[in-house]
Amino acid sequence: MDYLENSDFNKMKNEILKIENLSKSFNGLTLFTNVNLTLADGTINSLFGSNGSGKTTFFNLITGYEKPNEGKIFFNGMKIKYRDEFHIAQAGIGRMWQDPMIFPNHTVLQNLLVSSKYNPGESFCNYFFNRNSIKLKEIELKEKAISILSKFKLTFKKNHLAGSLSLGEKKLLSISMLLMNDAQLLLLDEPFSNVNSNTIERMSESLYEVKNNGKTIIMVEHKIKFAQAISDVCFNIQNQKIEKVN
Amino acid sequence: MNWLHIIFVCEIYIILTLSANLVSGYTGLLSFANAAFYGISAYLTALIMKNYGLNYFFVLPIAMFFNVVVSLLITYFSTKLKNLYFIIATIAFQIIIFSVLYNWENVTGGSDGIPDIPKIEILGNTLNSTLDYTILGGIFMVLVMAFFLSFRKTPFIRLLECIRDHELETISLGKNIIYYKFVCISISSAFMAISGSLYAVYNNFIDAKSFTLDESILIVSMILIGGTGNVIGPIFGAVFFVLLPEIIRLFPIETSQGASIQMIIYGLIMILVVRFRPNGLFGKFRFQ
Amino acid sequence: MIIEIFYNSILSALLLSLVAIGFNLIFNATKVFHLAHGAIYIYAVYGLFYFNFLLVQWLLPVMAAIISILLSLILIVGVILLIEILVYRPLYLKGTNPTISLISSLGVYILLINIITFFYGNESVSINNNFNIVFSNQWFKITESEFVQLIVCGVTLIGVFLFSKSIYYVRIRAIGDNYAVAAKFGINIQKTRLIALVAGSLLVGIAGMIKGYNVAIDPHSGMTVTLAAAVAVIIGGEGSLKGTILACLVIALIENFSILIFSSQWKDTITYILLILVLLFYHKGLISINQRIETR
Repeated sequence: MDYLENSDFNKMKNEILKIENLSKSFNGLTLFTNVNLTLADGTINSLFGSNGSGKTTFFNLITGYEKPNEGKIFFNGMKIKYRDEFHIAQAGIGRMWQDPMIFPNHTVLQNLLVSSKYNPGESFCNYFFNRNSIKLKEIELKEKAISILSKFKLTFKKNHLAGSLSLGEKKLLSISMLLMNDAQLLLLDEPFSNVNSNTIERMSESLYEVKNNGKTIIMVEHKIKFAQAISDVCFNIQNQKIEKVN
Repeated sequence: MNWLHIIFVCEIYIILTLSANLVSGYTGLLSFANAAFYGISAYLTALIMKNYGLNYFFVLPIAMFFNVVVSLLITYFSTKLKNLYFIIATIAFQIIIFSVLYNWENVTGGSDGIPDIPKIEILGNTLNSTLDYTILGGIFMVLVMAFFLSFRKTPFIRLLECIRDHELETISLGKNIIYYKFVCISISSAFMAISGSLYAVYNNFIDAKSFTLDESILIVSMILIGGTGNVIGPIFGAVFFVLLPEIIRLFPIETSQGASIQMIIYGLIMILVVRFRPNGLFGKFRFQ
Repeated sequence: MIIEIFYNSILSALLLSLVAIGFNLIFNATKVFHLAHGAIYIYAVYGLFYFNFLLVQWLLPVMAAIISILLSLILIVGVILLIEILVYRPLYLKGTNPTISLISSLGVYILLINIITFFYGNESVSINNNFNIVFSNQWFKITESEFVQLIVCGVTLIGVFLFSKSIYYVRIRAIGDNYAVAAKFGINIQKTRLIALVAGSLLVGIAGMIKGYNVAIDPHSGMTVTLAAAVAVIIGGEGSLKGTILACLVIALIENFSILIFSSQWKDTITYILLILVLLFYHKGLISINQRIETR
C-alpha cells in the first residue's frame, strides 16, 4: 500500500477521501476527466448526476472494482488499488447497493453478527486453543447488534430470516451491517429509492446517527431536494467533472 | 447379506459425505473431485504400508497431510473460477487423477491395482475380522461426526454459509475468503483420507476402478438427495446409497446390469432432485 | 513423421469441430453446459450399429447402411427433443443458474449412457474394420474410412458454413446474448432453442457415426469428447465458430504431438490438463471470478 509523505498526511487528517486527477473512460465513452475532490471526515455528502453519467462507476473506482485510466484515490492516506477488495473493505470502506446485499438464509441478528470485522470465532485455530474468547465475543457482539437494531427500530425482527424482510427493512439492515462493520466511509447507492416515508424517516435518522459516530457518508441519490436537505455537501457530475453544488 | 460389511461401508461413506458436505453444502463449492482424494489416500496408505511396513497409525496422518497438499490445487481453482467452471475443473481433476492411478504402472500397479495390503496392528494385535474394522471404522466415524456436530452453530460455519449465499457481500465486509476456502477444502480432504486408508487396509486390495468419476458422482448424489448444509442430510444420503445396491441385488439381474441400474438411478436422482426438491430430503440449502 | 502427425491432427480436428460447433450452438442458445452431448454421440454410434445389424438381414448392405444412418439420426433427434421437453425447458422456464443445469445435464448423461451399458455392457462397438488404402504417397496414407471421414466432415462443415449465414444462426446468437431483448424483437425463443439443439445434436451424431466407422467406441468416450469440445469452445470464444474450429486444430495438434513424448495411454489426460490450464489462464474473460462487479 502506498502512503503519502508525513507532511501531506498531516494536511489530510480531516480528509477521509481524496481524489486526484481522476480520469475514467471505457468503450470509447469518457466519464471523468481530471476530477479532483475531497470528502471531509464526519460529513454527509450527496452525489447527483443524470443516468449513465458514471455514478456507479465512481463508487466502483473508490472500492477498487474498477481501475482509473489516470489519477489516484486516497482513503485515509491509503492509495486505492484495483482489485484489492479485501484490504479496502478492511480499511473501512463500506458499500450499500441499490439492491441491498444481505444474507437471505440467515436471520437479521446473524447478518449483523457476521458483519463484525474481528471475530475470533471466524478463525479456525481458536476452536482448539481459545474457545472461551469465542463465546465471550459472541455475547459482546450480540449486545452491540441489538443496540444497533434498536436504533433502527428493527429489534422485533431480529430472529426473522433476512430474506423475508421488506425492501425498506433490508436497506436498514444493510446500513446496520455497515455500522456493525465499523465502516468509516459509507457509500450508499440510492438509499431512498423505492421506500415509503416511514422508512425514509428511519433512514435519515440512522444517517445522522452514523455521522454523529464520526463516520462519513456519500450517497448517490435522485431525490435531489431531499438529499440536499440532509447533506452537508453536494456534488454534481456534469461535463465529465464532479463539482460542488450549493 | 453380510451386515457387518454393510455397516463398515456406511461408515466409510458417512465420513466421505460429511467431508464433501463441508465444501459443497456449507460453502457452496460443488466439487466432483471427492473420489480422487479418496483414491489418493487409499493408494498412498497401501504403498507405504506395503513397502515400508509402517504402522497404520503413522501412515494415516501422512495420508491426511498428502491429501491436504494436493487439495491446494482445488483451493486454487476455487479462488480463480466462477462456480460453473470450478465444477468443470474438478471434473477434469478427478479424471486426471484416475488416469494417473490407472496408468502409472510402475507406482500404482496400473490396472492390476495393489494386492496384499497389510492389516492394521495395534499393540501387537492384528486386526483381522470384519468386526474389528467395523468397530474401528465406527470410532473414526463417531469422531468425525462429533467434529461436525460441534461446529454446527459456530460463527465459522456461519461465515462459510455466507460465502455460499453471497460471496461478494462477504468480501465487502472485509472477510478473507481465500482463507476460509483453504480451511474447509483442506479439512474435507484430510477427513476423506481416513476413509481411503481404512478402505485400503480393510479390503486388502485396491484398484483404480473404485475411484472413478462415477464414484465422485455417487458421493455428490448422496449429498444431493440427503440434503446439504447440515449433518443429518449427508448421513441419510450415505446410508441410502449404500443400501441401494444391496436392494438391487435382491432382484434377479446380472451384476454388470445391476451396476448399470445403479448408475441409472443416480442419474435419475440428479435430474429429479435438482428439479423438484433442491433441498434434498433433509437439507437446509438449495444450490441457487 | 511430422506430416503424418499433421495429417492425423487434421483428421481429428475435423471430427472434433463437428462436436465442438454442436456444443457451441447448444451452449449459446440454452446456456446449458450440455454434458449430455456425449450421450448423443454414443447413441448415434450404437443406433447405427443396432439398426445396421437388424437391417442387414433383410436388405443389401448399402441400403441397410443408408437407412441405418437415417434411422440413427432420427433416433438422436428424438432423444434430444425428449431431453429438451423433460429436462432443459422446465429448468429454463423456472429460471435457473448454470450449476443446476450442469447437474441436470450430467444426470441425463449418466442416465442415457447407462441405459446403453445395461443392454450392451461396457464393451466397445465398431461398425467397420476396413483398412483399405485409398491413396498414399511418401508422407502419409489415407485409408478408406479416413477418406469417408474427410468427405463427410468437409460436406458437413460446408453445411455449417451455410447455416452460419442463415437467419437461424443470427437468432441463436441473439438469444445467447440477451434472451429478454431477443424475445422483445419477436424471436421465438422456444423454436430457436429447438433448432440449436437439433442442429447441434445432428452434428455430434454425424461425428459419432464417422468415428464409429473408423474405430471401436466404448460407451464412456462420450465424456472425453464433450470435454475436449468444451475446451475448444472456451479457447475459441463462444461467439465465434471459426475460433472454435481453429481451437480444435490446436487441441488436435497438441494431443498428437504429445504422443511423441508420452505414450498414447495418456492422450486423454493431456486433454484434461489442457482444459484446466485453459480455464485458469486462457479464457476470454468469461470464466474468471474477477469480473465486472455487476455481472457477478
